[in-house]
Amino acid sequence: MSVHQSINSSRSLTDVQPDALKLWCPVDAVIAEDQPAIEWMDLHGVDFREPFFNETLARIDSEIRGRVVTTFDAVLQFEKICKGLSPSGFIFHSSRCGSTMVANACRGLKDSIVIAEAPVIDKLITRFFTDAPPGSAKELLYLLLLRATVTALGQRLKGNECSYFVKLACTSTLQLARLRSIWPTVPFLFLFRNPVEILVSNLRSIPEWMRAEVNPAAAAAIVGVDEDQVALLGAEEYCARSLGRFFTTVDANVDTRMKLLNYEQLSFDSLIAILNFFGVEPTVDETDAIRKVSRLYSKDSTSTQVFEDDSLQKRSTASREVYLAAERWAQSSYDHLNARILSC
Amino acid sequence: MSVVPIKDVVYTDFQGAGGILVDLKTKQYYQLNETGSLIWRGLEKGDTVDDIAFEMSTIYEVTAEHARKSVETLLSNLEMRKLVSRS
Repeated sequence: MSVHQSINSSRSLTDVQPDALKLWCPVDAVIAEDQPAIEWMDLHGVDFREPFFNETLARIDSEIRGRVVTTFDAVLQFEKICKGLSPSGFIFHSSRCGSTMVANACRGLKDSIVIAEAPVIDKLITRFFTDAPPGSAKELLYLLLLRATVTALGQRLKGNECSYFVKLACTSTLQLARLRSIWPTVPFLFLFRNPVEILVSNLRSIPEWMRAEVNPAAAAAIVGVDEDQVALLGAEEYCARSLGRFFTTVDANVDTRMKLLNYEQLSFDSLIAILNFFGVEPTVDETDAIRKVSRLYSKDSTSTQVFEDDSLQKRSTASREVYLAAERWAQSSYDHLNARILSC
Repeated sequence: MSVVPIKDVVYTDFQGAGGILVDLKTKQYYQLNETGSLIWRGLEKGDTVDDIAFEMSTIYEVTAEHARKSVETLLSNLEMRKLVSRS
């Protein structure tokens, strides 16, 4: 079968030669024929301009593009022939803290690739929580698959891309050490925010990572409790415990190639400083585009809604339970990270 | 006599500290440790067993005899699994 045929969505495995996957990208980690597999999609010419990877896939959904599902080895083989960009920087974050604005600033660069919370990356990283004991063959396999997947997503789909940024899901923060082992010299940014404000935001609109029933084993590992306990946690405690673990993990893994940034510091100037940290000097036109980004609400893909700092509003509406959970599980590690910034 | 990797076996290295061999015919995955990785990379370069044993003895500061024995042990294991062939 030719890979350039449009494949229907049934999850059957196809044998594909690596050469045939040029300009195709891994888009999801799936189960096909009872085994873990990777779904690929023909993404030639695609610009990841939306705030999230899946929004770009939704935009091009009506286009006739090939899809194919392969076993893991296809990704490993493809890495050997892929001439994509190496990542310029990774964006880690504690959720609801301005990371999408940073990703949009990266999009302000002409000819950049910005992959934001791609399910295929997040699902592979989630395997580290549930299916890859330290030192095991599976851990090594997932490290290699993750590296190969990020490499494949760094292909020049339009032809002239010259910088490449990867924004991860917030829970990936807990795998910082493993990710650093794959990319020992690539700049890592960690964005964070007052835990009360994050809690208020997440409780207003519960994200999937806070829904323990989606993947109880991963949820338990993220929160740091046994699997039979995780379903018993209230949303405040679940979120606050997670934030505390994000902050503690970052604190334990800070290195010279890592930059910390509090939401309170986000500004046009700090966006430029982040890009400089990622090794990029924006041009005049790019600087204008980034200035515009800094004034807009980042998750509005129409780029019309103006950004407003809602920190005070969030704190004033936080419940007593939110304050108690933040204080008990996250405040001290948050203060510790803040102190690191101040001491720099 | 030389030992060569089978064509349908793909090796992916992780920072020189180990890696994964995939037999594309059987879809079996095998983990190589750091020294196994060194041996496999040597085979891919077309090195002889003696070349690989010499490199191993230099890097890990073991005797040539010890290194050669380690190389042969892994090669026998790989040959048994039809991941390499002797010609």
